Amino acid sequence: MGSLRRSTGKDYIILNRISGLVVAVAGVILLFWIIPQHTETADYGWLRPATLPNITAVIVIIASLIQFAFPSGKAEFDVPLALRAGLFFLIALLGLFLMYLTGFLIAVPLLVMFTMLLTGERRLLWLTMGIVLIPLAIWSSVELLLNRPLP
Amino acid sequence: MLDFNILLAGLADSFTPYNLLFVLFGVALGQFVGALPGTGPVMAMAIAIPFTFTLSPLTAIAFLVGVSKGGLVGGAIPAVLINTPGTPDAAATTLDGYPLTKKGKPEKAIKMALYSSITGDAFSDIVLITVSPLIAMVALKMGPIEIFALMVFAFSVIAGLVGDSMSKGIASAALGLFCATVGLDPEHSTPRFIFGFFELYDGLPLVSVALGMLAVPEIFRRLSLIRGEITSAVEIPKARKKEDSRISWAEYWSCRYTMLRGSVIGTIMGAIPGLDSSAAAFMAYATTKQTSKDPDSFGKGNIHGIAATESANSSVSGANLIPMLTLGIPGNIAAALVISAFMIHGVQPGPLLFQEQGRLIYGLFGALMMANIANLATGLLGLRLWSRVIRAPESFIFPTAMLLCIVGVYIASGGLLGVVIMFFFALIGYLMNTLGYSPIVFVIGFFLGERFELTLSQSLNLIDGDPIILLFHPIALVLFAMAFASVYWFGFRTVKTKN
Repeated sequence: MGSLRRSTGKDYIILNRISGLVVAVAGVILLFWIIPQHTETADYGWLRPATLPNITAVIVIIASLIQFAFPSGKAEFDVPLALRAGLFFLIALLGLFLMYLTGFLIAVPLLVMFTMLLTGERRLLWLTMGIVLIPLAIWSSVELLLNRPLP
Repeated sequence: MLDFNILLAGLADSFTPYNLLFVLFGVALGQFVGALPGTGPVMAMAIAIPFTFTLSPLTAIAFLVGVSKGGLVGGAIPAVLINTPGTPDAAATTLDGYPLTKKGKPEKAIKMALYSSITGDAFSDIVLITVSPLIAMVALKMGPIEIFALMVFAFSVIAGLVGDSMSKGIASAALGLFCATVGLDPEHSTPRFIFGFFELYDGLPLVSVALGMLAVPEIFRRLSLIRGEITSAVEIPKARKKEDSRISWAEYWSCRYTMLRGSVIGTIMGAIPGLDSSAAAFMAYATTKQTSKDPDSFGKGNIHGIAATESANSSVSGANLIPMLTLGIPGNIAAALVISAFMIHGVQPGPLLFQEQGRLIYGLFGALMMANIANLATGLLGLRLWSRVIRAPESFIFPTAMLLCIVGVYIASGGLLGVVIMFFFALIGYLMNTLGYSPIVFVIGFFLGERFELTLSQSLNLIDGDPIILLFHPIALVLFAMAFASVYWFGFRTVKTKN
């Protein structure tokens, strides 16, 4: 494993303040934009459709502002690691799209192959198991044993 | 009152070869994933839930319980052999387990871990079986206002105890509750936050959220950590003498008080929502060391150290089911996943469960007993096999796990939208994890959200705009006061102490 930069106490404070602010802004967007747009108004009853969402949004804003003002707890955001995780995430999404277009048996071996190669795996035995055996085992258990269709 | 007919019928339901087979399979799967550092039973349970659709509720839950229990035993194996706990619960087991391995007694250490784990587990199951019907009887006397207050109290405790920041815990719980409001609202049945997807009328799929928040971010994190160095084979020393590879009855019996202490600590901590088994294990270890006549031998391969930690972390699992079965509040994430399995199979956990689904509950108790025996048998037989499992490369394990997540959610949600939702929550889960917001609290908030809104609605209708009515609900008032006290205790007081 490569050497990774560890967050220091000062980094924690800055990250906690930033995350507190970002989550508070998200809470404000929920409260003033998303909740009014995506709930219906009702003129009777004690608990309207927007009541609990509004309460949760207000709690999120208050808790996040407290987090901004009094940062506490650990927070570690390693940019290279996050980018690498993002790459795997992107491959998974592309695999999903390919699955939608071509089906399970074509997309899945490709998805597993790219993922395994990207991790640095080059041993033929493990690659064969991951790319051929596992997808085939899953496909046959779901389609033949559980009788459920896969894409 | 306890109906013996239902009790016997429930036990008869569980003690079938078919259920035994699934319990055995669950235990073996749990031990297998538990032995793999970085995966663990929670990920296995989350992945397995969608595959249990085709099973009956009892078989499905028995299987998941088997996975959870097996994982606790499996987690100790890499902790003992390679000083790397397979699950966080086994972290304290490394303290004396690994030194014993270094002395050339790995099998002795693993067997001690296995026996004490089974002992602790059986202890907490007995407590669960005897105590939970009584708590459920008390809980049945509670109305919507009391249940709502209880949930507020549970949230305040869970938010304070899980993670290391009260404000982040509260924000996580609130976000989980918010996500639970997607779909039809309970009072007016109007759709909320469906964004044109009629599939969301029933809310966000439980499995997509659970896997998205808990399993998938961990898979991406672990994949991102692999940099061309695939896990190599680990050399495990072999025992030279026969007595170094087994635990004699005298050795086991000498640890009886240690295991009893560990089991009591684990059971008490497990019954409190939010406290995890690693805390129980460290507390049991510290207490055992403190009361020992030879405290210096701890950390150098003392079997009492292993007995204390393993009995404590395993006894948490049964006790975690107490608040879940009696009050519908999950004590930890494994219990939350069992709740989601109950809900997927159309069963609502809570005090009414004992009245309406008594047979299922007693069947579950039967499955717990079977799982303990299966854990012992599988642990002894699979010892050598699991010690080889820890050599499987991560480059193979995690892509396979991701594939199982995709297929599991596809089956559960019946389409690719569920998988897209899972990836959306995986992104949120990853960010929450790195920034210190607890995905566990989020998921518990999400699971309890529907019931929370329903009891809030019922409570508001009962109060009918007159807060004086609350004075006639002293239990609810006490619970609200306790919720405020826990926010103060875990939040403001901690901040003051740190400053």
